[in-house]
Amino acid sequence: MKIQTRKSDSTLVVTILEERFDATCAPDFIVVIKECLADNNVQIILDFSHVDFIDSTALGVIIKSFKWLRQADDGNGELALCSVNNKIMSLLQLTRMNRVFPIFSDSQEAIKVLTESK
Amino acid sequence: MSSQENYYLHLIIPSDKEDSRLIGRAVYSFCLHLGFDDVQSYQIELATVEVTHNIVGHAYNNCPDCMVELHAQGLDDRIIFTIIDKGKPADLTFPPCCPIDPNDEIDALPESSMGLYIITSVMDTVEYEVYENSNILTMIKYLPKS
Repeated sequence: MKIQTRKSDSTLVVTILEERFDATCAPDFIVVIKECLADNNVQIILDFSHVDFIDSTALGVIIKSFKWLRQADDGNGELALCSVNNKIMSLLQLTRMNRVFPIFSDSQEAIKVLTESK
Repeated sequence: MSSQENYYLHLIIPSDKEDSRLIGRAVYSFCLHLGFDDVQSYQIELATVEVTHNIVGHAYNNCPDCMVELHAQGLDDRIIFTIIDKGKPADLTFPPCCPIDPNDEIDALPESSMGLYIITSVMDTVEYEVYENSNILTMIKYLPKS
């Protein structure tokens, strides 16, 4: 799975460089998040600016990662989403996960809010 | 789409989740061509991909040597999908896990089994039958009235 990471203060921005985030690459995503956690990154922003399609398997591994992050660092971890297009947002709304995940318009806004909340 | 014209799409793919991308991309383009918007076309694509994943994972138990067949017929006011496999018949009796209750404990959030909910939410009609040795799923989506 192609990703790009960059650190901003204590927050790690993980940009997913796949057009389709689906059952084919979902297992790789779990490995990526495990590596991030092993490196003590507990504030993670998933940047979806390159992603055009996700399926329920991808949504499932995002939920799994969200649980891991929320439980990390004595409950101080966080997983946020940003730059989600209308298609992906429609799936989040359909499942109501838009009311669970913190979702921001872009990574700058997400970094600002997560940094201020620490 | 001009009146009285029918459009057809017929695909047969190997039972491999990676190949569900072929169905997804073809269905998305087909839906756009018939007049669905971008988000509607994505949701219909997603429903067909979820069906394909269920067939590959459950009906064929991830065996890649089988086939998944999709027919799509575009009419003036609707699109009709028929997806056929020859694997184990589906168990449609388990309770839906979605939509989630945002007030639930975080541990209660589902990590799988959301496909059936997505399929039935997106499509206007979903029917499933087993005929001879084939499992036949028929789904209909109507075009929004303009």
